[in-house]
Amino acid sequence: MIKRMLFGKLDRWQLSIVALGAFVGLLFLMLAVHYFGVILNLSAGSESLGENLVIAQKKVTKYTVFDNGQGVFTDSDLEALESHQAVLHVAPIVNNQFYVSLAMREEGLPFFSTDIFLQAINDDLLDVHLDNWSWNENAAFIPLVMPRDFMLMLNQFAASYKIPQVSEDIAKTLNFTIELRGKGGKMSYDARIAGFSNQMNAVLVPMSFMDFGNQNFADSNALQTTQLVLKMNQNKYGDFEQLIDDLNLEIKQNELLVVKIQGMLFAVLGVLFLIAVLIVLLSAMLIAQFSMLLVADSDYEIQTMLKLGYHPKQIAAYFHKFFIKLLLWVAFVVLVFFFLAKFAIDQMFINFGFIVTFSPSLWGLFLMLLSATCIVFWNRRKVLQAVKGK
Amino acid sequence: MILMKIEFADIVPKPLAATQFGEDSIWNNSFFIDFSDKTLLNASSGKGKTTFLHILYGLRSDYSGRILFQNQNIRQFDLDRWTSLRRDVFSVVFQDLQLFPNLSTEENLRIKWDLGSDLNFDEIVEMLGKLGLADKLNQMCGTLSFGQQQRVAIVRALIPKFKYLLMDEPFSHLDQANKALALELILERCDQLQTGCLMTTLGESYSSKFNKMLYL
Repeated sequence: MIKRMLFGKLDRWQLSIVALGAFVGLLFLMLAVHYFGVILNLSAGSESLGENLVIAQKKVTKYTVFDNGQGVFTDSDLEALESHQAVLHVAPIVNNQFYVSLAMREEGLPFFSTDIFLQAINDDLLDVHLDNWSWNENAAFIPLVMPRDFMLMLNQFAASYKIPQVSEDIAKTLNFTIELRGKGGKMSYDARIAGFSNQMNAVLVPMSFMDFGNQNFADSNALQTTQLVLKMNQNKYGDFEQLIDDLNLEIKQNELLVVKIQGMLFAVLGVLFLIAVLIVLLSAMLIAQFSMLLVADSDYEIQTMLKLGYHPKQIAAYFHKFFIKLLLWVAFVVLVFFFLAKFAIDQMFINFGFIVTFSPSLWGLFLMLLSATCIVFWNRRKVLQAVKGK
Repeated sequence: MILMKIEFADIVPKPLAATQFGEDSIWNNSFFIDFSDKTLLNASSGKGKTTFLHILYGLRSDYSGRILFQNQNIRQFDLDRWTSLRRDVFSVVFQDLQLFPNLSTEENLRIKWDLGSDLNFDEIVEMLGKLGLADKLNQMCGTLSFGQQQRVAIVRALIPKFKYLLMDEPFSHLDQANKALALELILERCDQLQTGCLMTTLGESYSSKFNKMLYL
């Protein structure tokens, strides 16, 4: 009956506007935070390299092609890169300094052999999470991360010999032999494919295997760095591009393209986030105004209840419960619309060739619920003040 | 049982600051009200009866002088203290009744009953019946006559286990028969709770029922 008395003059149209404001603000907030996380995890479309990582090498020109030392990174090059604000991390890609060949010996399949070259990078730069990405001399086989192009080559080979083509999963079960040669000796090891990379053009092996090979089979101990993995500062994209030009380096342009897209999407999401925060703040004020209106409409009733011995907190609690219910409904509707919007936006991402995860951002959910809770409690304070003032 | 009392010292409402008061007036004099007293406050219109009750009930603070409740100046009471006094110590029949017109008689009574009472709701309905309003339980208060509303307000004031009952011209719209019934019900409830009351009137004499008289 008290609820009926206090909310008897409630204007449903005004209530709808208030709820709509909160709905739009909270939905935008949740979407912005969720897609911020999605874009952060796009990882430049790579399976082997983490986010904002690019492989750089010195540009080869007609003037440098016959100069043996031109493609090698010097200490001062590395220092210049490391000290630049657009670069967060520099790591050399280690190449094999010995001869390597790869052969496939599988029953029922034709013999296949080719010379290859190997590369190794720090484990923390791999974003392919491999359980068996390690090697020691007692290991049963060497794990390999192959360029995805290798699969194309393998299947072309299979087609020309009229044998069935293989999938990535089947390829991982094939047994290979890697032969190392150098310093007058040679050694063979079993190897298996552990994963595939879009980014690397060479066969990746664990660093421990590369160190072993270079120590035991390399003719020269002097390792030369011809390729680097650079971790770019996301916010310094323009500076990074300039640095690459200044140092006469070349990188895969599509790596920067994704960063460009990321940058643009971050900017759009940043604006969306700001708008969302603004709408949430406005809706909080709208709810507070609406509450004040309700309190003012029930002026006589509230004053009488206070005179009868009701505590302002008891009276404010009726409004508090009402707005808790309202915000819970809004949060529920926001969740429903979030999943609908997510489904539609994810389809767009997928159509553009991005891989997005299904799981919603817990941060987005947390921030949405936190905002709704803050609105409710801020409003409770305003209502209590208004009731006390009667 | 602790006997409660309120002491008044030179109370003058600010709107009456320039007025000269007689020796027997409660304004600008010192006196006390014992909560076991049944006190009648007699004065003609405009002398400040309602003001006095509102000051006592904490609804007004525009006065000079001191009022001590259990040796504490009521000016120092905060909202929490006033809320507990209004809920547990005082009960009031307001001159303007302060009923909720859009609620039924029952709902008006339940709002006070929800704050606590030693009575069950049937006993409250019985009190309403004694004042001839048993059939008005479900009627909106706003549709009752002022006299009927006055009786609802009286019953509402009798619901809590009060320590002192304040009544501001509670019978102003009642006929003699209903006045007698209402007064009997009020005094019966006060005796049941072993408490006193203070009633303002426009000069009617109920001296046989009250043991103390105050004037303005």
